[in-house]
Amino acid sequence: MVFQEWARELSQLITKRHIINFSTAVAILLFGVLLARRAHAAIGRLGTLDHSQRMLFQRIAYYGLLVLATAAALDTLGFDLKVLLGAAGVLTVAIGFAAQTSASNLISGLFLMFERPFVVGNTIAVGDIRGEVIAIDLMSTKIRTFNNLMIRVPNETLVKSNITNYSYFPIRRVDVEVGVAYGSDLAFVSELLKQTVLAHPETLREPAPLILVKGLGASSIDFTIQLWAPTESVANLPSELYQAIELALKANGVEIPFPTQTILHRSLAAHA
Amino acid sequence: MSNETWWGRTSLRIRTAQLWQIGSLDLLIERTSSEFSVSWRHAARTMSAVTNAAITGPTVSKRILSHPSDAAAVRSAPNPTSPLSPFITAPFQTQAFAMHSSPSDDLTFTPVLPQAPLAVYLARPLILEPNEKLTLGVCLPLEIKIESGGARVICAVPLEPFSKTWFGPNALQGELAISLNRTTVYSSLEETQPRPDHTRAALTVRNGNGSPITIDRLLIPCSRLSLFHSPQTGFWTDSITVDVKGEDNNGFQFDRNLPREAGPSQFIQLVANPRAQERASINELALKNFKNLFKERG
Repeated sequence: MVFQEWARELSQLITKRHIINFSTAVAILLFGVLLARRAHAAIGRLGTLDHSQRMLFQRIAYYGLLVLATAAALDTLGFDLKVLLGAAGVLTVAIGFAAQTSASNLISGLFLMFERPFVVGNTIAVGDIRGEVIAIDLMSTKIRTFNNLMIRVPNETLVKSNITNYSYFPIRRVDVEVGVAYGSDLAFVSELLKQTVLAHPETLREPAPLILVKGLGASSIDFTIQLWAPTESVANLPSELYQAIELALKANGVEIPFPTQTILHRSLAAHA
Repeated sequence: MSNETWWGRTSLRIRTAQLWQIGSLDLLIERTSSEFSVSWRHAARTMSAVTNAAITGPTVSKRILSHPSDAAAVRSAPNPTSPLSPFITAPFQTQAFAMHSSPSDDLTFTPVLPQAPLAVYLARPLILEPNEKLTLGVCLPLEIKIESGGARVICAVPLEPFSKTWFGPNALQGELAISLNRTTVYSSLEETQPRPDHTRAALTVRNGNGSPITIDRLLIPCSRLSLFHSPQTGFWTDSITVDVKGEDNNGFQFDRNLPREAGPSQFIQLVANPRAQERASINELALKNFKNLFKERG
């Protein structure tokens, strides 16, 4: 008897209109999920964005569409969205106070993604950390150092720090220093150094290498060779050039002097 | 393929290797049951070989290495020096390609132009008055495109060593290019010589500016040129016209009508199409991205 009464009351409460609204809300939700997935996949296929931007836009599109679909479904069911939005506002302020650092990192992450001082794959230096960027996430950036350590740098730190990007430009200048013995023919040595570095296939012909006498050292006349190379070749180039320069100088009778020191004994000097 | 020419079709059986010496290029191709291995380097030759190469083009030799130890011996020999400098060694660069779907014995060597643009330097700067034009003769380097069974491209190897260079007004603006370490621009096409390791083209520069321009270097987009061959006159590419209209506003035109120096057209055959197609227009890119929205993943 109780059950029949309860069923009768329920049937009076749930009208045909309620069933239609509920079905419409479910349909809106399902459509929203489908649309969000499609948008996520379509943005993933966009070749014009880099990895970080793609990831950001995928998340914005996916969760934005889900929130919109949920709001539309709740509206269809008759919920007053103003109350929900008010509650969400209060909740946002509360969470904001509790997670200031996270919010700062998040906003810094957005700045990094749009300003793009570096992208995934670039070699950068931040403070004492130097390595390859392997991921730029919303909260932090992951850097792999050259001895294969992963360092997580909060995005806020990156925004506040000086960043050196070694991969930003396609070409870079490389400085190679070499000392030759006093008495060497400097014009000949300059030309020999120039021809030797230009013969390396990774040395750019333009901008042309500059051969400068840097100074008169304690044991040698010091040259600085300023040459340009494609950025990806810069790591190995100095080593190969030093080998070629050493061979070229030796073959042409130009001495690379050892540091020498003359020690004068006071007693011997007195006898002299 | 005869012993004098380096391009055409050759045959390489399983567990054998071939060592080609084309000018300064050492090209070692090894084949096992499931892979091709291509190794190459540019080595300095003796003076007589270098002199010969400079006058008549590269000398070509081919050795069949039927025992695996022969190829190993070639690899383990001391590295020669680079033709660019006696102080730089030239080790082999090797690329191995897996070919599991039973590759055929056929290997095809096809001459192609480089993918990278070529910077050419004039012996002395030339001043071109407004609305004037000038036609120069240029020599462009070639690469060997190696294909297996006539269909699968293995790789492309440059026939002669080149330097890299930056072509632009400063270190911020410009692009990376290649350049040869020999003269590549002549004041007329008649001065260029046919060689089996390079191709020739007529390069016309038109001054569309209102003021005189000084030309000391030019950038040639090699990947947009077709390659032709005539048995009498050697390799040719499309005639190139550069319209200089201002800084960074140069227009290129490529004309398949070869100059008269190329000889009768009935003897000229197309060897290779341009390696790069024209870039898709903005509209095409937009349409492609729009279609992506409705494409299923995977």
